Amino acid sequence: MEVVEALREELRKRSGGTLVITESSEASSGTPRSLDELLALSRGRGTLGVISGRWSSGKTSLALAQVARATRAGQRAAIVDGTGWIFPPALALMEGDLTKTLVLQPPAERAVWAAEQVLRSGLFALAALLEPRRLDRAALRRLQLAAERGSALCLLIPRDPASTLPGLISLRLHVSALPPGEVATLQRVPIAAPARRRRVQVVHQRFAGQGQGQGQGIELLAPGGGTAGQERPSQISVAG
Amino acid sequence: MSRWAFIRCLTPAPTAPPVVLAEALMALSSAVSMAADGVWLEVGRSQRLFGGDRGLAKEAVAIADRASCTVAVAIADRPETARILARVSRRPLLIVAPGHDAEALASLPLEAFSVGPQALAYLDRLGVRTAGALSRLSPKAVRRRLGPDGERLVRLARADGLPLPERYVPPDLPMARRELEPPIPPSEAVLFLVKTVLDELAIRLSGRGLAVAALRLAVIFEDGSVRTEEVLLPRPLRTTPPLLAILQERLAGAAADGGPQVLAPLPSSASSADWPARMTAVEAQVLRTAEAPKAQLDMFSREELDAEELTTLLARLTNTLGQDKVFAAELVPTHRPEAAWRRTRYAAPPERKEVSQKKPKALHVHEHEEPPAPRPILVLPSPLPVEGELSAGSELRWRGGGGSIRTLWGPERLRGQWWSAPFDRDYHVVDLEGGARIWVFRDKRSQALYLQGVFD
Repeated sequence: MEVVEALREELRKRSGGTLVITESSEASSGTPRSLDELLALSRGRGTLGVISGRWSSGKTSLALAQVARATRAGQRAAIVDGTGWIFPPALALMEGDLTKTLVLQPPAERAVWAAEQVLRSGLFALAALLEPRRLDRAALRRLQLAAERGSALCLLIPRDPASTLPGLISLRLHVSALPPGEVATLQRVPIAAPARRRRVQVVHQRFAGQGQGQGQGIELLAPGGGTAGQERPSQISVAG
Repeated sequence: MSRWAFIRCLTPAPTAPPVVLAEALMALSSAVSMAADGVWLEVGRSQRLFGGDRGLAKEAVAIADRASCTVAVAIADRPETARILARVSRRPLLIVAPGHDAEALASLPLEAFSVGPQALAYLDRLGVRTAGALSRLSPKAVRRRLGPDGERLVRLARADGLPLPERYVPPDLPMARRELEPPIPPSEAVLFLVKTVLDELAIRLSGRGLAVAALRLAVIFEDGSVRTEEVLLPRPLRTTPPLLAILQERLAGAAADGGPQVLAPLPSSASSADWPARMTAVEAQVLRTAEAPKAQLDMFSREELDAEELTTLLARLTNTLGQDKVFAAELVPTHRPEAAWRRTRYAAPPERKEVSQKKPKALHVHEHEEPPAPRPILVLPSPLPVEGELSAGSELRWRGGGGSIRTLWGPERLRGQWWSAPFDRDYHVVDLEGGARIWVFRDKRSQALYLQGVFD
């Protein structure tokens, strides 16, 4: 741990107050230490997760960052877009592979069915369901079973921040926007908005063989205007 | 050298019509002719591809088996020789060495040649009871007594050249139909018949290396109403179960054109007056074909299976949600945000078995280069008019929302397409009180303000 602390101190000095930890610099303890690790763990094991937050809090970009990450790794991912507003160039800016990203824009009453088919097929590592209409326990159960059958991660991004989804959720994240901090690396772009900081709280996580955890808080740094710019989900800033 | 195979169908009442066997066997030779009891194949040129006569005959038996038909195969120099031997032989496979047709026929009784009773009696009086004895008679002499059929009989026994059977030309877009006898009320039982017609079409097309790319299914009712469903596949399928699954899903729902229900079970409380019309027939018409995937039917690789499963999934999604609701995105080189991408067919290659360790190509390579300007995740297809001023503290209002500006950045000027639909916009990233971040622009020509996207 001393080595990690020393490394953090060194990084803190070099990055002008913003601590950046990458996945590769983390010591493995067998339990998920970073948000990326947590989400990577969720893929490939049939997980139903929810990312909640207020309008424009950054919840959608957190989900799409996972889509970008999966497709970069050569896997297929799907976006079930209940908004009809998805902007694929933003996904390309995240270095996501658009050719491996299936976009579905079903009518509201068909969104769960569409996500279920994608998850169940076993062909997709991840399906992000953007702003589905209110989900009841039966719909969640169907999604959970489909995710388990296809060993995929299903991420729900409800429109309502206070959306109370019934049980069955293995991973609950809550995203809230924070006031922008000073980020020296962006000052050479005079017109660009500064990095947008978000707080991602792991409200609840439950994986087989890993027990349960909750209440972990991570601040996520999304440079370049908040979401699409060059968000690299492997870079996580820890409040400090 | 001319060589003919006759594939005789032994199944007493084959479920599939003879054209099914004929078209399926086109996998072995494009020269196919039909007879009442089987199919001829001209195999002189293609037999080498299958390891000779024996290999080709075994392949024919396997194909016939897939068409639910038990067959006997005979191969000879002359088509009629092959047909007669296939009819009389007790062996499922009989091959006559080249140039030995007459010898192979010589010991056969005349009954094997479908000789009429009068001709048979006449020849019997002459002491001619085998094909060998018949072949020694003069064709012209027999013609004088028995007519043209008599001459033909002698030439047959001698294995002389006779007119070749007419070549069969398959339809480009085959159709299969099955009658329901007796008619049945709407129920899932009809799916069995749907599978039968799909299987028939698949095997017929497979003979020409084709597969179904688009298909129309019609379920016909006794009152004259018809339920039709058209299925368009993003990639041709070699097997029918995925196509059946798509059709089952479509038939389970209500018809787009208000057609009758097909799979709806009869309510137990319904009186006979409420019973729906019964189904009388199922008809499937191929609307488009495409070259079938190359792999052998029995040699599925993991990648092929993967591609087949993906095709099935995409077909089910597009058939349920609509063609324009299932897609991959493709970037378009334009500065106008709402036109910066377009829909394209999703056809992702199979997943890589090993994930490349190579670092993904970065969008900005050089350290001194500026990072690309930020773009919101959600962009409105049509920008929304905004009321208010672009200054800190002022209020912005748009249909269904609004907020007070805390901070704004910009402008980032985007303009272009002066030759067609010119646009000139100043974009700003705006942070609202409460934490939301939006993307607005001022149209330089009208000075109007618009909401373009949301950073979420």
